[in-house]
Amino acid sequence: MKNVSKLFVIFVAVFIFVLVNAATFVSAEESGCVSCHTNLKKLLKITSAIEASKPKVEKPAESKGEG
Amino acid sequence: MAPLEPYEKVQIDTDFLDEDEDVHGQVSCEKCHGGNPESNDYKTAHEGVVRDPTYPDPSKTCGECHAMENESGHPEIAGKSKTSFHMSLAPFKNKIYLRANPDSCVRDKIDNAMGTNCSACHSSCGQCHVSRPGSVGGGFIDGHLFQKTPPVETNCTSCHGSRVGQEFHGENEGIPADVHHTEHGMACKACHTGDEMHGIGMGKEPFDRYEVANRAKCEDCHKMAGSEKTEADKQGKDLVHPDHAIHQGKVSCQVCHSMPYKNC
Repeated sequence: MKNVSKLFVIFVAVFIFVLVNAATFVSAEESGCVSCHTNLKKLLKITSAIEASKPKVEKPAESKGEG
Repeated sequence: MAPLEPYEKVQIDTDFLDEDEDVHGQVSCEKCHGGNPESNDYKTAHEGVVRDPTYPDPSKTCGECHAMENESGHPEIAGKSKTSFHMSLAPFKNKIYLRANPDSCVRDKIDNAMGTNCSACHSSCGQCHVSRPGSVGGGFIDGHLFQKTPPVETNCTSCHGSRVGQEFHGENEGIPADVHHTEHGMACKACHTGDEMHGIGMGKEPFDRYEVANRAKCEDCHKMAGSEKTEADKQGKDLVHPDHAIHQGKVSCQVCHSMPYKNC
């Protein structure tokens, strides 16, 4: 009986936690932009692929240096 | 300033999505940047994406809240941006036109060169408050979290670096740092307020930075000894040296007080 009430308390706690944070979970999951731009592994993979596909361009000498 | 890795430039800090950390994170990405958030492929997801939705016209992004003065309590900012020199770069054109041959053929070439080269170096709401300026490679300052005051190193001196930042911070060999930095720890915004940076908003656009009504002035803090002062005036030392009385109103402060500096 004690185990059942313990489980019930845990269930209620988890339920309340999910309920309170639902808005955050939903908005983060809803947006494909966020799911990718917060994921380091995905970003590393994609940005590496983009960089590799870019043609190498030498900067002209007059644009080197700082402003 | 160390360059950012490509992934660092676009990595969003999850704090940005926390309303308590940054209210801007509650606006959906595509509302400002466009693109297709439904797509799982980065190529199609980024179709039509605007990297900096605040340039050249921030009225449909920042301006939604920070438009003109209203009852929302947001400061009037975006409405003024057309007269912000960081956005318009107007003094460059004004000064070049003063010196250049007035022949229309020459003017056309100048306009063309400015359009393709000079105009690429500007700033915007986003390139001060969210990311580094595009002219230095861009990339988020802090995971897309909006910065109320743009950081000096990543933003102000990333453009005003070798000819302002180094002098101010004493990074030129044999030339001491500015006393406002060494003794008082003042950063750029202590003198160059947001009000000055954001433009004047209405009336005739100033010809150059010396015509900006709310530009930084030494006299804002340093008053003549014995003159009436408000509480805000008392933060700078009084001008007690007798030469100030002789030269007041006739000679600019920097004529006597400037330090050696680099120029173009």
